[in-house]
Amino acid sequence: MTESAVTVENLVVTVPGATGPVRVVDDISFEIAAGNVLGIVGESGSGKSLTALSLMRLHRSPVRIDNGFIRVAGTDVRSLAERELDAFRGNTIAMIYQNPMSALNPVLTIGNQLVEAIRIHNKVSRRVARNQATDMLAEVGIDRPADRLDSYPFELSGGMLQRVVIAMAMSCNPRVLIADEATTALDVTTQARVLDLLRGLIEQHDMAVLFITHDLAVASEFCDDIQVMYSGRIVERGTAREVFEDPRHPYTLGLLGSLCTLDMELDRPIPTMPRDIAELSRLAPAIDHAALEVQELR
Amino acid sequence: MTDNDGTTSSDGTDPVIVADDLQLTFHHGKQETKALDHVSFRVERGTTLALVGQSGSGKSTTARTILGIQKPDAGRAIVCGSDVHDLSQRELRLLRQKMQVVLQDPFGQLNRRHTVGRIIEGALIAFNRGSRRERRERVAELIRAVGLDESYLGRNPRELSGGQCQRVAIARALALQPELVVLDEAVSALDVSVRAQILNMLVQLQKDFGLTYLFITHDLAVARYMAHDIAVMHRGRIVEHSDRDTLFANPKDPYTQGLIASIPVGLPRGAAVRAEFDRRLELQLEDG
Repeated sequence: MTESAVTVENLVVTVPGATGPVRVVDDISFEIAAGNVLGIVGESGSGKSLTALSLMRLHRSPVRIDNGFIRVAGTDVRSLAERELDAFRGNTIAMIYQNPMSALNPVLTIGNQLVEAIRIHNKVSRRVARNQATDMLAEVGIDRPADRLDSYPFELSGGMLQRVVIAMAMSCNPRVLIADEATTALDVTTQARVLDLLRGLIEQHDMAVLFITHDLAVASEFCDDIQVMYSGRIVERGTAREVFEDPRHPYTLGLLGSLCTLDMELDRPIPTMPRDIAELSRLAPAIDHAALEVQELR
Repeated sequence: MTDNDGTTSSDGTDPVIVADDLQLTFHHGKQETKALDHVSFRVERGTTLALVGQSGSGKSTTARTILGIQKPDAGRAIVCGSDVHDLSQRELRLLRQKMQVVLQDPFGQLNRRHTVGRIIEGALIAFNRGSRRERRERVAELIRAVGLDESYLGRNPRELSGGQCQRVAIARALALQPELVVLDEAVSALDVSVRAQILNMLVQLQKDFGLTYLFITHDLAVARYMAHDIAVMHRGRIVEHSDRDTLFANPKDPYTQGLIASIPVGLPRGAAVRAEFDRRLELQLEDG
């Protein structure tokens, strides 16, 4: 039996509220197999980023994991000691964010930062690390990689920087990659190219990917499976096809309905979320398309 | 495109904006960037022109030039019949009553030290509009026009969501009864469901007040929904400009074609989804 690269069971993340802890991630469970991309879609405050941070234990007080089991590539994440976390982050799981500048030091060259990242995790000489860095930049599709090592972040475009960050994330060959709105800030043509790059790397390295986005169109093209989150809960999950072609939960329907698409009808209002969506969502059962299939077969 | 030399309406048109061969070059050291490369267009009263393109294409620079914030090297920007860059500071200030702007960042564009009421009233105070009481009435009217109620007036922007902040920014923009509103990525930072509400509201406000919009966006689907005409910008140039149906049915410029092709279109909508949309739309229309 193959073990999932990521297993999350009954995860609860809380922040303190006026009347006790508020569950910002409310008892969610999911798995990601190696080589698979799980998309978490949802709007601000739905808990998608906090879910991702949980996998790396990157929460800062007062946000805390209150309950649940998290296993990433065989490691029980919650049982790791603080000093074990550094090796775990990077080697086993890596993350890329929306703003590549936030992941890079503006006063150091790209090469310095890549070499540092490589040498933290592998005992190799500077020269070897530098050669590896060159190869990595080439792998993420950067022209004249050897020259680029001497560039500073401000000398590169947003798309190039995101490639550098991807290269850095890939430097230790992680088993799991978290992409949190990683292509959101990019122009559409650049975004398409960076997604192509990611797709290639995922297949080549057989990584499990947690892909967080509010962009439903990107999610529908890029992800194998989709989880829709709303107010800390997973309200619907299935393959990308199932969720986008046959959405069942009122929140998913509302979300897809209010999306501007190139084929939408003009000269009438865009359908908006029902006003009582919070109530509707709470009452409606969560939809798992895999379970629906089973029921229909019986 | 049509001729660009006229500021008069002798041909029966009534342009709120005439951009006439705008040119601007930025210099960084020895490098030169053509920010505006012979940019010309007109926007007729009560219509929306969308400027679309990727970052650095010159959309915002065009807007800044129209608003009189950025002086072009050559060319004219005519708003409501006045050449924006040929006015005295005083005259430009007066013209600003007729042209307002809403920016992308919901939180960054509102003064956090002021209440919502004071933010909206600020525009009226700046131009000495009405007595204190008249201003208060106008502010109440405006906050309702953008779908909030008077309980918001005493609040601070920090207490509001992104969508609510954007509504306040729109209310402020409308305070002086402008003719032109420049919307520079005004819905880009908003969540999908909030964006839909704001777009619907902008369409309604345009109808109610006869507003003219210069709508800047990188999102072609949003441009298609909002605009009567669309101008595609690339490297400071308008590479294609036509009415929205023509642009999407028959994009001529290779850059436009590429832009349309790179949009993820993976959202197939089954019959069930369509039916659900229609049902909700009907409910919404019944609601008024």
